Amino acid sequence: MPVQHAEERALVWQEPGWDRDGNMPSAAVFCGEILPEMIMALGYMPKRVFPSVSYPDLSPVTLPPFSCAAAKSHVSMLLRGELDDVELFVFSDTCDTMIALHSIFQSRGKKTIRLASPRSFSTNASRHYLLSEIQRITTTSEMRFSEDSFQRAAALYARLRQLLSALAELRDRMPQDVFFKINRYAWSVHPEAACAVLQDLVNELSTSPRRQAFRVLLLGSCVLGPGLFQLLDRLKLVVAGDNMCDAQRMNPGWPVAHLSDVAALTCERPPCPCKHGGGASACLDRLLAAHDPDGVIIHTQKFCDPHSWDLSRVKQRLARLGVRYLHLETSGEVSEQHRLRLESFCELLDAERRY
Amino acid sequence: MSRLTSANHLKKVMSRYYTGLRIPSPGKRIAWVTSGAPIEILRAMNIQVAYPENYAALCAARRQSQRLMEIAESSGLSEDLCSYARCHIGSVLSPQAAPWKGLPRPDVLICCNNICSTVTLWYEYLAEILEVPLFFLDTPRVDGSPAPHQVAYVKRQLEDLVCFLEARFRRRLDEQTLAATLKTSVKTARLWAEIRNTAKKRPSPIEAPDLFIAMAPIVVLRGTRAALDYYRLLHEELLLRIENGVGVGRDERVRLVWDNIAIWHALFRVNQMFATHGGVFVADTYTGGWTFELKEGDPLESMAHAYLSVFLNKGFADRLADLEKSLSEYSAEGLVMHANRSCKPYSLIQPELARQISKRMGLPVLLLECDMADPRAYAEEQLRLRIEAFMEQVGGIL
Repeated sequence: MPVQHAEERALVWQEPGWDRDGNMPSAAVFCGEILPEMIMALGYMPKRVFPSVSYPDLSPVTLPPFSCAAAKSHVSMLLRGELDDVELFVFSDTCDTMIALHSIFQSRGKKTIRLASPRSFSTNASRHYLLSEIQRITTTSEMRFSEDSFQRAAALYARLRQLLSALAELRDRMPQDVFFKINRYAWSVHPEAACAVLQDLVNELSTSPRRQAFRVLLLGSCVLGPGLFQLLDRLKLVVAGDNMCDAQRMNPGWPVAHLSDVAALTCERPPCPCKHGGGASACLDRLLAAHDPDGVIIHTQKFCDPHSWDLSRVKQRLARLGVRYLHLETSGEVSEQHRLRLESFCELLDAERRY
Repeated sequence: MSRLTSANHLKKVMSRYYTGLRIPSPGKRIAWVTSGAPIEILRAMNIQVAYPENYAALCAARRQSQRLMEIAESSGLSEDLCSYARCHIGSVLSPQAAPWKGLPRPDVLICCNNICSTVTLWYEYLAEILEVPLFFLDTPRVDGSPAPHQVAYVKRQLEDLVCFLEARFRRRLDEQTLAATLKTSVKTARLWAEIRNTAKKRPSPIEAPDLFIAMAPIVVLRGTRAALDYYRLLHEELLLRIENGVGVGRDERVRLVWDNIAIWHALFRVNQMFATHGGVFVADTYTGGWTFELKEGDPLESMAHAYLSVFLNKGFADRLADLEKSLSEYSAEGLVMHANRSCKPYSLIQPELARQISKRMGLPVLLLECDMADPRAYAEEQLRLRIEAFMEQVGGIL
């Protein structure tokens, strides 16, 4: 069964696997704003590091308690030695936490690249600056960037993006946590390996029936573990779409061919709430129009400032449009309290459907 | 603690500033700005500037911030967000509950993100609820010196800012007025640096809580005669203290450096806990943020360079070097870091900075978790115990 096969393969990424991929040393990419094509063209195998609910939590010696769970997870991985085989650590200046993480890794003697990205993508000046910044990285990082290697990497990731887009169309035909795992898996292994798994999965799901359930949108911060998705499955809630940086925000669906496309794609993707004037409302409206959900679940991580600011705006917008929503704040994994709140939300959706 | 006589003048200057903001006059325009915004352009165009951050700090110092934060939280803002933002937004949502009924309504908002990412989201929120135009000045993060493409990017935005203000208010920016304002700004910033430097003497004529109070004009009145005159007065007073060997009015057994924004609602209470054991904060990292220099040449390019180089916009190595320099130049025997829940760019790297300082300089470091404006995050007894243990370590308790 490809679903099972894919699930088994997807679980592999959860084990630390940072060995060299052929001749390529590993690069750990901490933010979805960095396109992997660029890192591969620099001679590294890019693997996105996703935060997870992991123990022991060693972060208190390096981070204050009011840091978000994602930051704690990344720092714990570093201190536990799970990233010792990684040769390059890649960050982008999205939020203050990401900037702090770069500082910590740098201070611990790690080789890092930091994209000093603009906080706004809405002006010509900022787009021009972003391209200059990308060019700075490719020319000053003492690595072997070439347009040819970029073209090869771009072709590999173009196929991956295409298959992930196809999979997103079929996400209501598979368990929710599998979609979550597959997405993470796809950005954590060589794109050729990921494409093989994805192609099997897409073929199989194309002939599978849709699951009868309430359709919801999932918005907000990335989810650290599979618990929320398993809970959604149990409650017969299907995520029809999302704007999360570990899922659909990573993949707007179109390929890049040149370095200038990297800047363009970065600017055109669904906006990270860290960005000024990113058109978050328009993006929400597009998601609502595309999926016509029964309700919306907004997830925020405790101490994640950008999503906390965004929350009030999203709530207001949904209330204005008369869309039912539920806000869940987690510090990593879901708890009994979250289960109760989700159950009540389901009952509400059910009552609305019946009456 | 011996009081600075120039403090009376400071009170008058600040009260005149806040009263002046409220007095209506024909053609008067008000901009709300972030503390790292390039106000010289606004001043040169005769636009009054008001500072939500400074206002929130004042509310906290007057112990009136909690009520305002609760108003903001009840409107849906998370209690984990910046307390300056919550306090100020509370004053916007409910002016009747705020000191002086809040800041006077702005005509424009000018947000520069060289101090943190939060201001970007805070000002967007303000623009939405107030329906006021917002100009966003993006200053990418700098390692060492700003790169040429970063300076070019910010310079281009400064040009856009001028166009935005000229179109909005139908007034021109006069280059000579801008040059004069910049000259006054630089003079004031240099004087402020000299004032901070007086604390290198033993005994120190000034301590961090005085600096936190005295910093208001360099933030809100930078580029004006009023700020320059006040700092001249303060500087003269400090030189006189040095000449007469007068310190801050008590035993100076342990010289300390403070890192991060003040705990405004308990500024003197916290200071007293150290003072009891002979601790004097001879320097802090926060008030040093307004000691900038401008390069010769094109004014907008110089401003781009200066506003990119604000210390909170710089990387870890720069922060570490600045801290080491302060600790060594001020002959400090310990470092106290306020792990400020509200200020992530300042606080998230503090444990790592502390580790490096201890390793490289062998100095004891104390991390105190609190909040600059939210008294609900203040646990006095817990702080006292930690401070006593630290003071024992640095030799304050014999």
